[in-house]
Amino acid sequence: MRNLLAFVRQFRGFVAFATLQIIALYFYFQYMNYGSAELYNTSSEFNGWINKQKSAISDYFHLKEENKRLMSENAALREKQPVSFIQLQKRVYYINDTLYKKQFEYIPAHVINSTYTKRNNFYTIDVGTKNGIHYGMGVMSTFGVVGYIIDASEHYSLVKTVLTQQFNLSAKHKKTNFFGLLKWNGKDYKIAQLTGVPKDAVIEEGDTIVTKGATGFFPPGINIGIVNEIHTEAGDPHHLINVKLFNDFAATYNVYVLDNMMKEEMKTLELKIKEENEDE
Amino acid sequence: MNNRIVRNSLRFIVLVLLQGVIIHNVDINMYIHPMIYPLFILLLPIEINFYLSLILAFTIGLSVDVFSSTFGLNASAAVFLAYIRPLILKLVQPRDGYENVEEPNISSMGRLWFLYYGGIMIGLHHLWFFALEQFSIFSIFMILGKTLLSGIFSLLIMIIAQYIIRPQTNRAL
Repeated sequence: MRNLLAFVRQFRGFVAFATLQIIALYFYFQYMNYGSAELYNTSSEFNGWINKQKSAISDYFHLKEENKRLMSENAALREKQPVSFIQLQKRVYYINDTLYKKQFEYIPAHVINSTYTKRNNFYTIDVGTKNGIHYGMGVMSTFGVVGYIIDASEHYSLVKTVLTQQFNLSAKHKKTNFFGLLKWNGKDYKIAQLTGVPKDAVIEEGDTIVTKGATGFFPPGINIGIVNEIHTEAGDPHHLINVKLFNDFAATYNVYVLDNMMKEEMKTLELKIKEENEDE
Repeated sequence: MNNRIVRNSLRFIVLVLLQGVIIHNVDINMYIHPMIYPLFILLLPIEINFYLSLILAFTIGLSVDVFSSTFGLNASAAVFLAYIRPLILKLVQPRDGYENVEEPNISSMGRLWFLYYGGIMIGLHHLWFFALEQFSIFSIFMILGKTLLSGIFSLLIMIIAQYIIRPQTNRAL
């Protein structure tokens, strides 16, 4: 009888343990599988405020490098301005025509909290819903892709970077347009993996990998990295490509959030595929 | 009694802030992610109610999660740590038990004892944490490597922390 009581007492302890585990793991896997960060939502304002204070101090340490980086980007942009061109053919006119419509808007932001050595690395940036940020906007730096927004509060938002499990951005080989999924195996923060590219594709080391623009997070052709190493295993119909990322995740501060103004249009169009399939 | 609650609450706040604001942001390399917040669970009073310790562990884990975008990973590991604590305490029990010992820290139990106790506790906590984080049997070496290297650093930080902030009560008289 005493043994039974002891057993029941122990079992009750285990039930309490299991209940708390289930709650914690529910949060964790909910996020891992669906990308929704429920836990983050409730606390982001406070957390963001603390990070902002912290970053207000640490910003000064890398002002110099950041200024250099911005200067070089400004120079590159200035070169593209009309004033730095000489008109060669005087009879060509610029007409404000209907051929082009702006699709992407760039919202500048600063990274105020970041890691790069964890298995899942997130950035907190200092823009939020008040600046028009919402789920699914791409984030890039001067050099290339950083990640995309998974959650936003009023003044802050959370970026899922390339350095996470199940990042799964569709990317393509710039020369041949063969495409695959960009993932990260958690081993080296400078190297990501491009999977699912068929062996027919002729890919060499040093080739550029860019975004495909499939999900509407990024326009096609944004730099991701260069091919560093190509593994081909017998029996596997795909290449496994190691991509050296252009963006240095250990030192990202200035980023741009990309607002795709035609994303809704793309989504509604693609929903028709689903409906079509359901009809059959 | 009151004193104990105040001391533990203070420790809770200080450790969460230390972990979330400073230690979490120190990127040493891929294998070394030291953690200091488990010290709170290690140092809970010995005859604390088991359910209370589970809930406290869950709370501190979740607080750390909020700071480090891990969404429940730390909560899970902390609850696990609180669950196994009574077993480990029994395992490393000195010959004359825990008489007159309020909380199992270095000054009450000695350096060597704490090394055993902390080593086992931190090892299991980190193993649980990194195994869940990787969630793949293929990266077993990565999990073990991270556990070992991070564990050594965590234990070191916890021992240093105890020398810096010694509870007043143990020194009095």
